[in-house]
Amino acid sequence: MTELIQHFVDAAGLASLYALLALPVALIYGIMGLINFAHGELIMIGAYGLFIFAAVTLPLAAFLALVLVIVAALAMERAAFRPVRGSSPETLLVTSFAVSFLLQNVALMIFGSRPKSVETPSVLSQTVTVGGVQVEGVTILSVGLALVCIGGLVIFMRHTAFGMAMRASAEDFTMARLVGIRANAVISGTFAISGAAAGVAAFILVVQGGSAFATMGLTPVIIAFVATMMGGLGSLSGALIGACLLGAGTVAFDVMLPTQLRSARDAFVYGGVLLLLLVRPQGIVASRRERV
Amino acid sequence: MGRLRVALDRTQTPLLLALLVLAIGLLAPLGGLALENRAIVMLINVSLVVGLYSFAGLSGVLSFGHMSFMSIGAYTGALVSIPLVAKGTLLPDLPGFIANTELSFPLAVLTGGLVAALVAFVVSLPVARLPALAISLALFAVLVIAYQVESNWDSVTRGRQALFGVPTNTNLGVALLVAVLTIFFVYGYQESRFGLRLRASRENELASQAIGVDVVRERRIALVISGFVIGVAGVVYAQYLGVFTPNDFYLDLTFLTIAMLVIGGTRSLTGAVIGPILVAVLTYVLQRGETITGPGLQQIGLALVMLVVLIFRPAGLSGGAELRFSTLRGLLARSRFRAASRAPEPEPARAKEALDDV
Repeated sequence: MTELIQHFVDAAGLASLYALLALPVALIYGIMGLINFAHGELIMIGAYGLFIFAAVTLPLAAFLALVLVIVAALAMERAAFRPVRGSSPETLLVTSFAVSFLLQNVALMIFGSRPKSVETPSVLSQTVTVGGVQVEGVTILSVGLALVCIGGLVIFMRHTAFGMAMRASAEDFTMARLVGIRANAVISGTFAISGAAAGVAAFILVVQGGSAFATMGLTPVIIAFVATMMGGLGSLSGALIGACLLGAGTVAFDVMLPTQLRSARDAFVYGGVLLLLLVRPQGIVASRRERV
Repeated sequence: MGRLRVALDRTQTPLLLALLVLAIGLLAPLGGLALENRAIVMLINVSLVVGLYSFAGLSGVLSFGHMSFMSIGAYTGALVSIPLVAKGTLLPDLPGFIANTELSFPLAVLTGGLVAALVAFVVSLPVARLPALAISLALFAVLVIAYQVESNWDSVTRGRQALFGVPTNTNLGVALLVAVLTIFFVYGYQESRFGLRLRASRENELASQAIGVDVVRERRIALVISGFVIGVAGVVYAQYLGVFTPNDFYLDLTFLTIAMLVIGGTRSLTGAVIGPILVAVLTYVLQRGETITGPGLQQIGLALVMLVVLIFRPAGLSGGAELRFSTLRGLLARSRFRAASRAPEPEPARAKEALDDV
């Protein structure tokens, strides 16, 4: 029983991190049809931000890194995605792929290929034991941050004028513009939100891994893609469900696989996802966008 | 005579492209060994990108996963052709039937291509049914799966350690032959009814379904065909390198091939052939620049060029057009026109003379 609760706690920690990764990707896809490959590089920028600002106290460093990521997200939209806005989803996707590769190599040029270690408070790497169940500090951190962020996003989308404008744009972009919603403002705002989410995710990943490196955005972005795809592209609740399933699946394979196969765990997880898609090609929540 | 003309008219695009590739391949050795090696890599890239084009270009569905088929081709081709003596010590735990086979180079190439095609078929079972954009993402997951399996399956691939002792059969002639065959093969597919149906689904998925195109089936066929072509290119590349690791077929190569296809133009075979050629030249220049700026310029420059192309000429340099005799004639006429407009005086006189003659 304790063991089961232990697995459940581990899965919850992973799932909340995955949700923080998948939500912004699904959000941007919903608004402008762009699958943002470069979301991983926003996380990488956030991690390097924490490394750069590490000299000041942690709360301030975290805040500065967050601002840096949001600025980077806005700049990315302005420089690369605005010129190709309205192109086919394939063009948008390949553009973000190029941006991602560009930023990775710029980071390699500036910081080199060796990971930069970032000091985080030791409180976060401690483990609390509650009734035989070990809860890592980072699990509490990611569950807490994910709840706050997702809750904040839901309230923002439901109850503010800007949030409603975003939902309207996701529903029908042209119609939204016709009734006076500013396209640029909505898209910039969405990128700012995705930047903020990337910043938070970067913080969790740095606490978890202890370092920043140029290619660190890759694994998170694959997870975000797979979770969004499982949920049916463009559906926010689908992305959340996808993230939860992916977290649970990862823990399940971790537990069930024999030791020598464990290092190829992700291969099994993604293989499982492909099998799932065999049954439900439209994802768990079929999105309206793709429906004919 | 008439029939010959029709045949020539139908095959002019692959003929011209093959001539272009041949010219480069035959001229390169004149520049020394270094240039010859660059030409070999470039020719293999032509095969690769043409293979990628046979799926991504013709279906309009971008793929981040085709390098997994390349790695499968490479490993298969290597495993069946490493000499038996070396194989025993290199990979002692290999399953019996592979451990005791040693195939000739052409057979190894064919085996690599077929195994890659088989894997592509298995992959296509779930993947081809997805919506277009989800296919791109699912194929990316396939790339990660292939990479992880190859990095961990120590008894077959030596895991993250390099697989060496692979016979190096690939020379300029082989690379040239494979590139030319690939060009004709993919052009044949493009012009066949399967290729036409696939291209119809690219232009308008709904409309093509309305006239009876089974989009899922056509995409599945394209995946298998592109898997075969890329698997073949994988064997050829592996037998050029002689030593390789799973990393040789991962993200860097995925980016490179996509960049080549995008820069050349995703919507025509011509684009898929000129892309690798242009990028080879660009890489050469950027590598020269790296002696001043330090490493990284090559990747950054390539990404920037790709972004510029995407923003200002999203259809790539070919613009979706195929190379034909008439294109060349048009280019010639235009340059003549330019020369004429630069020196307008003597032209009318000559034209008048010509009229007088009549």
